[in-house]
Order: sequence, then structure tokens, then C-alpha cells
Amino acid sequence: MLLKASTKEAIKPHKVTIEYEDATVRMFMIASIIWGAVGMLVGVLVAFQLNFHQLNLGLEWLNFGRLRPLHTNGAIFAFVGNMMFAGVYHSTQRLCKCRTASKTLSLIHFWGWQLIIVGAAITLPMGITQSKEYAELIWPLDIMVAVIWVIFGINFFWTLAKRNEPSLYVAIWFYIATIVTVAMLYVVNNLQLPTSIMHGYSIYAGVQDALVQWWYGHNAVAFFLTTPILGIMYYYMPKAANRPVYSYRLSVVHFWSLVFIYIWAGPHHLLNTALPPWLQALGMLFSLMLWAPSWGGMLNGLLTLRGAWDKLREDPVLKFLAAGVTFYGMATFEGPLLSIKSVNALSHYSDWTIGHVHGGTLGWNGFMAAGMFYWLAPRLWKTKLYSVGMANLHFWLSMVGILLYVASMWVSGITQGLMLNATEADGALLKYPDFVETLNAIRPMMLTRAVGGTLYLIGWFMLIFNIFKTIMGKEPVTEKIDVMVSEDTLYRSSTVRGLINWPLTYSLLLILFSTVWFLADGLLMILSLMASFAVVLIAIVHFQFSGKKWADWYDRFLENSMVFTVVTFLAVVIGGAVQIIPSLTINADKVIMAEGRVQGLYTPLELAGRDIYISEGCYNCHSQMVRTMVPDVLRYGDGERYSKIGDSIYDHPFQWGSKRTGPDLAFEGGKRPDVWHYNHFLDPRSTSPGSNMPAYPWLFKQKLNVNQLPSKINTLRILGNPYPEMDDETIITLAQEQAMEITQRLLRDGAIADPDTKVIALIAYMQKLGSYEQPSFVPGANADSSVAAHE
Amino acid sequence: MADTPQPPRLKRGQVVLREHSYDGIQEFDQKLPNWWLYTLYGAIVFSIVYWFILFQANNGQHDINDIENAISDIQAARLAALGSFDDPTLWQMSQNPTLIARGEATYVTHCQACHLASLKGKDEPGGIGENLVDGTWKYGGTPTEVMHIVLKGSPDKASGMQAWESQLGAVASAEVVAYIMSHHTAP
Repeated sequence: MLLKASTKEAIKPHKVTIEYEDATVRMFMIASIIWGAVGMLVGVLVAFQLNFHQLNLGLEWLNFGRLRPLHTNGAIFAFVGNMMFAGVYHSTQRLCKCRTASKTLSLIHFWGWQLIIVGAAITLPMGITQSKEYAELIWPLDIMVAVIWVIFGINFFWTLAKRNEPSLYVAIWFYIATIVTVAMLYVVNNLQLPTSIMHGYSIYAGVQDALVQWWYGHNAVAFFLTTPILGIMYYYMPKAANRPVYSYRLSVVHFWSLVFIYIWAGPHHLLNTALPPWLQALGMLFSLMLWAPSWGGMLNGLLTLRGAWDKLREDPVLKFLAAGVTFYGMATFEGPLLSIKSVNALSHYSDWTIGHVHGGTLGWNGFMAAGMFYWLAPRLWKTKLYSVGMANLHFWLSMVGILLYVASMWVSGITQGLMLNATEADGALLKYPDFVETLNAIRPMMLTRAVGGTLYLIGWFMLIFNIFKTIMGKEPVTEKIDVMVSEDTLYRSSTVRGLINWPLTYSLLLILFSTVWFLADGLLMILSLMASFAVVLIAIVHFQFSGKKWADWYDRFLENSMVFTVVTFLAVVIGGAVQIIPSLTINADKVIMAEGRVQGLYTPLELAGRDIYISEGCYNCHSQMVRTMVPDVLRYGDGERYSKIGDSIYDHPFQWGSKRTGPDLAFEGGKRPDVWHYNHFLDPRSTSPGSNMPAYPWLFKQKLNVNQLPSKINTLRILGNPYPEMDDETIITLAQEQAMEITQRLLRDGAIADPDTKVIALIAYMQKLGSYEQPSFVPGANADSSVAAHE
Repeated sequence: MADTPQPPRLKRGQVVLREHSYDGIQEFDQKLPNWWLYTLYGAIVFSIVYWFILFQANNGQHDINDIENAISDIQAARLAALGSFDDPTLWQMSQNPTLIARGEATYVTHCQACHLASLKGKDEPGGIGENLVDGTWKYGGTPTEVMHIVLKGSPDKASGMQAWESQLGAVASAEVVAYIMSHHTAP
């Protein structure tokens, strides 16, 4: 941009020929198609594993807990990621009337991204993971992701700076929001202290980690799976339909409300948990407010088709795009619904959530990808689609697949949710105390889901065949356009002029006052609430008197990509800051004062067991969070206990989980004998008939590497866990002594184990879960939490 | 686009097609649908009211208070349910075929995995629980003592049984005890 400003005077109107750089677009597209097949194939396998535990094959790297992260990361980052990059690189050049700034950077981006995916595909099945969902990649890969993402950003903004189109089209707004927000989310959520080249501990613990992780997790959906695809919709939908976009005004309102509101909604993943109630309420309320902005996108997509509906009959591209946008509308209606606390009490941890996200990924992302690829392939290779009939068949097959998938997950989630929450005897007793009974009730639905997923996968293979036949032997085209370059096409507004204006001032004032209102008490609270209303009223009046000028301002604003980016960043940074910064002050001392108890510190062996739990992906099926709900307290808290903040205050990373294919384990420690766990890991069905949990035979053979423990303990001490100073030998000896103790107890109960094996450490961890201490200096603390304490 | 000519005044219901085109894509400038706007405004107003009522007119602790009250009710209900099961009653139950059948059904679901169908537990291959029919009792052999272990679990949980009170409740536990005691005779 600097360059342009300095040479501005010299430019006379003249014609230049631009040659688009589409080689990397082709590469990203093919990568997305292939990784899509891999991601879906793994998805179908894990779906069948849930019904047929034998499909885990007793192989550690084919186990559900390790493959599910491969499936989710593959679908999100490999499939949708590459699809997004193809769409962004292709459409941005056309919307900016200029070639991508640097082909070298595009190529580094492409190969770097594929390298990360290969790294993930190797590490995740090996159990090398940091366990935060959709952020499982270990820190060396995290750094690669951040670097490659920044390269993508540089290339993108450099292209914007070179553009021959003064104004930014709505698709570009969404791309900008994507790039800045994903960078922020990914870096903040992955902050950690390495203990070795393959392992690190999150700097956040317990409730903080949960909050940061779901701020990330929710907004990875928002800014990785939604905003870039909305941008893609805004380019390919009007192109394919050959119709103008329905409403520019709607684009403006829904874009800004979407990026501002989305970021606040993360806590809806943590409703009814130990998360402070004010954060839960924010999560729910912002999710409700998000409904209209999301539907704004759907409306603008679908109503663009007005006057072109007849084309849907013949054109598979429009079929996929229209259905994709419809699924987007369905998923964004369901999201706010699931965020209502009472609905969430039923749906959370159940298959309903699984159905919800697949409506998004298979319906919205998958269909948008298919529509875009069917549109792109003939144009990038200058040919015709090999078979329109096959593309139509793909559409209907996938549609049936998704409907089977989503509908069965609704039935499954609601059935199991109702069974798990059902009580009798005036709420003093569970109606279905046996967890396995509720699992077996949903087995037919889980099987239907797997069939639906298989149909979708078959459809995808048809796409691969169709596109392969389309492009095979065809010459890739190099598209050129002539652009008139003159002063007129250059960007004109200055940064300062772009930033100082009424709409932005009112927005910032409103955000300031309403934030104060949120956080303040008493008179200040009332005053700031009134000030918020006053700002809205004044802004409305001002707008009534000078509506045209405001529109002009926005047009000017669109010509300055740097200002636009800064304002977008401001919009997305506020929500996270308001929610996360207060939680960073929570620490063990405050928790002891407030709750009278605090989690027991893990011994070295228990810590080793915890890392095995993480490595095996146990969190994919087991939560560690007894919610503030009677059924949870009855089922997991012995009718007397629910999870509090202090119960996980030392947990780096947290293990609250998001899905209960198996029971909650927050208070598992001390409930059952060691030998029960031993038998359960060896053959889950020997202790829990009907269970679908895989067996873990390798834990009985593999040795635990105790030499890593000193580095891990020291790292946790730096992060604030109150471990005393211990030399390496003491730490290792402590671990070995505890292992020997457990082994001897097992032997007494008739089970033979080697004290050096992983299973011993895992048993130590299981028996520690839920233990707590009540430091004596706390006034009014109870000696124990037995029945007497509640009389 | 500052130099584009001013659009003519709009008639009612007329839609503006914005002049500018991006790579051939044009945009209408339709008014926002009213139902959509009202949904957005409604959600915002609801949120402000909800927040105000919950956190600023109240203390925001109602979840915690609710669950603490519910826990206290659960404990009270459990104590009340336990009161009716004493030794004579449990021995009597152990001779009633209906109750024995019910107890057996519960035993098969919850107890058999460790204590085996034979009730002989770890004295037979595959079992890890105590033998319930060998006449020796680790923690006392009266029906109420056995019931106490069923409800609360073994005092030594690192190698003994879990508590079943939350899963079974007093009545089903008493039926299981009746089933076990039906293999013994009253003194």
C-alpha cells in the first residue's frame, strides 16, 4: 500500500493484462478432495467402531480414542482447510482484479499445510496429542500451523494491497475476518510450556483452560468452518446462478453482527458445569443473539437464487450450493436452541451434538465444497463436467446420507439424554442407573448413522471419479483479463479518515458502556446501562438525519483494507477479552477460600497415568465434569457431590470432555477396586457387560517411561502447581514405589502385572480422580463431605 | 464510487441494484426483512432483561442453591427409605419368591460380573468379588450388615466393592440382599 501511495501521481490510465495464478488453486482443490475422502473414511470407521468394538482390532493406532481426533482434524483442517484455500485464492484474484501477490508464498502455503496434515496423520494415531479438541496437534506442529497461517495472511493482504478494484466485496470481508481471528484463536489456545520435543502442558488449567479451549473450539467452527465458506458462498452462488446478490445492506448488517457476536458464545459448550454462572449466561445469551446474524447469511444466499430456482433442476452446482446454505440455516437454528441451558441439560454430552456438527460439516461445508468443485473443475481445465447425471446422483445419495445421519443422531441424543436424566422416587433415584443400558438403547441409531455416513462417503467417491474424469488429459487453463489501471482504481482513503467517523464511534461507545454494565455493580451499572441506551438512541436519530452520509462512509471504508482489518480485529477481540481475562485471576488460594476444598495434587505416577489417559484419547468418550444437575449428582456424585472449580484447578490441560459415550469419571477415584480397573482395561465387557469400550491390551505390555517425569513435574511447578522441590531421583523413586504398591494389591486380588507397565500408572490416575484436600486454615471447612455434612 | 451519479428517488417497493460490479457480481440493496430484524432486536432485548434480572437484581447463584437443596432432599429421602429395613424384615424378604426373583434380576445386571452366577466370586475362575455363599463374611453377616456394604461399598475401596446406593437405591438393594440371604438360613 505504501508503494502504491508513493507512485500514485505517476499513474496514467492504461490497460494491463493480468494473468491469474490458478496452479495453486488446482492443487488445493485436489488436496481437499483427497483429504476429504480420507477424513470421511476414518469417520465411517470410527462410527462403526462405536457399534462393533471388535473393529478396534486390539491395535493401539487403530483405536477409537486415537482415530476420532484424526477424523475431526482431518475433516476440519485437511478437507475444509484446503477447500477454503482453493476458494480464497481463486475468488480473491478475481474480486481484486489482480494476480495473487506471490506464487512462492502460495506454494510454501500449500506444501507447508500438507506437511502439517501428514504430521497430524502420523502423530495422532501414535497417541501424540495435547487433547484439546480440534487443537490436538502438538506444539511443534502448532508452530508450523501458525507460521503457515501467517504466510497465508501475508500473501492475502499483499494481494489486497496490489488490487485493481478499489472496493472490497463482501466475500473479502469474510476472508479478512477468517484470517485475523483464526490466527488469534490458534495462538492463544495453544500457549504452553514444552516438557519435551513431543509434549507440552497448556499454560491454562481447569476452568481457565476449559474457557479458552471452548472460546477456540466454538470459534474454530465460526471462523474456520463458517466465515470463509460464507465468503465462498458470496462469490460462487451469484456466479453460478448468474444473479445479483439479494441484499448488500443485509451483507453489511449480518457480517458485523456475526463477527462481533460469535466470539462471545463459546461458554455454551460449558453450560451447567463449574464454569462461573455469569459466563454461562453470556454463552447462552450471545448464542440466542447469534441466530439472526447467521440466518442473514442464509437469506442472502437463498434469496440470491430468486429468479433462478428453475436452474436448480438441471445444475448440480446450484443444487449443492442451495442445499448447503439450507443446512447452514438448519445448523444455525439448532445451535442457539442447544445453547438454552435447559435444552443443553438434555442434549449436552449426547449424540444430539454430534448430529448438530455433522449437519454443519456434511451439509454446509461438504455441500459447499462439492458445489464449488463441480463449478471450478471445468473452468480451471477449460472443459465440461464429465457427467452431470453422476453429480446429481452424488447429490441425492449424500442428501439421503446426511438425513439418515442427522435424524438418527437426534433420536439417539434425545433418547439417551432422557434416559440418563430420568429419575424416580421424587428425584432421589435414577430410573436407568446402568449406563450401559442407555448405551444399548441407542445402538440401532448409531448403526443408522454409520450407514448414513457410508452413503455420504460413496457420494464423495463419485465426486472423485467425476472430477478425475473431467480433468484427466485436459490442459490447465491460464485465465487472463485486461484491466484498466488508473488513479480511479487505486485506493484513496487514508487510514485516519477511515477510522474517525460516527458509525464507528457510536459502536465503540456502545461496546464500552455495555461492557461496563456487564461487569459493574450498583450506580455505575445503572448509569452505564442508561448510557448504552442513550448511545443507541442518539445513533438512530443521527442516522435518520444523515443516512446517505453513513452509507458513503461505509463505501469509503471498504476501500481501505487496513482500516477494515483493524476494525474487524477489534470486533472479534472484545468478547474473548471480557470473558477470559477475569478468569485468569482464579487460583488455588481463592478456590480454597470460596469452596473450602481443593483438588489433590497428582503424584508422579498419577501424573504419568493422566498423560496416558490423554494420549489414548479417553476424553473422546469420558467427561470429567459432574454438572449442577440432580441426575449427574445421582449418577456420578454419589448423590452428594458435583464438580466445583477447585476439582480441576491443577489440571493442565483440563479434561472436562464434551461427549459421554461412556460414563463421567470426575469422581471415579476410590469407587472401585484396582483389580476392577485392571480387568476393565484388559476386557471392558468382563466387568461391564454390553459395553462398547475398546480393550487396551498394549497398556499391559508397554513400559512406562519414568525418565520424562522430572521434566513434567518441573514444568507444572513453573505453571503454578505447588510441587515441592524434588530431585529427579526422588520423583522417579516415588513413582516406582507407588507402582509397586498397586502391583502388590493387584496380586493379592489375583491379578498379575508388571509394576513398570503403563496400566499401573493409569490405574493410579483412575483412583486419584475426584480426590481433594481441605487445607486446615480454611475457616468452616467440613472434615469430609459425607452424608452428615449435608444434614 | 464517490463519483457515481446519485440514484433517482425510489418508489415504494422498488429495489436498488447497486451500480458497482465485482468480477461481474452485482448486488441489490434490498431492505432488511422485518421479521429478521425483529428477531435480532428481540434476542438483544431478551438478553439485556435476562442478564439484568439474573445477575444484577439477583446474585446469580441460583444454580448452586438449587443443586444444594436438591442434594439435601436426596439425602433425606435416602435416610427415610433405609429406616424400614431391619434384620427380621430382610430375613422375611429372603423367603418371599417374588422379592427373591426381583433381587436375582438386579444381581444378574449389576453383581454377577464380579460375584458370578454361582455367587462364589473369586473362589471360581473369572470372579473378582467376595464369595457370598461360603458362610464367612468379611464385614459381618447379618442382613443389615450386608445391606450396608451393598449401599456404601467396602470400607477398603482400593481392593473392595463400590457403593451401589446411587445406582440401586434402598429398595433394590434390599431385594439383592434378600436374594443373597435366600442362600443362607436365618439363625
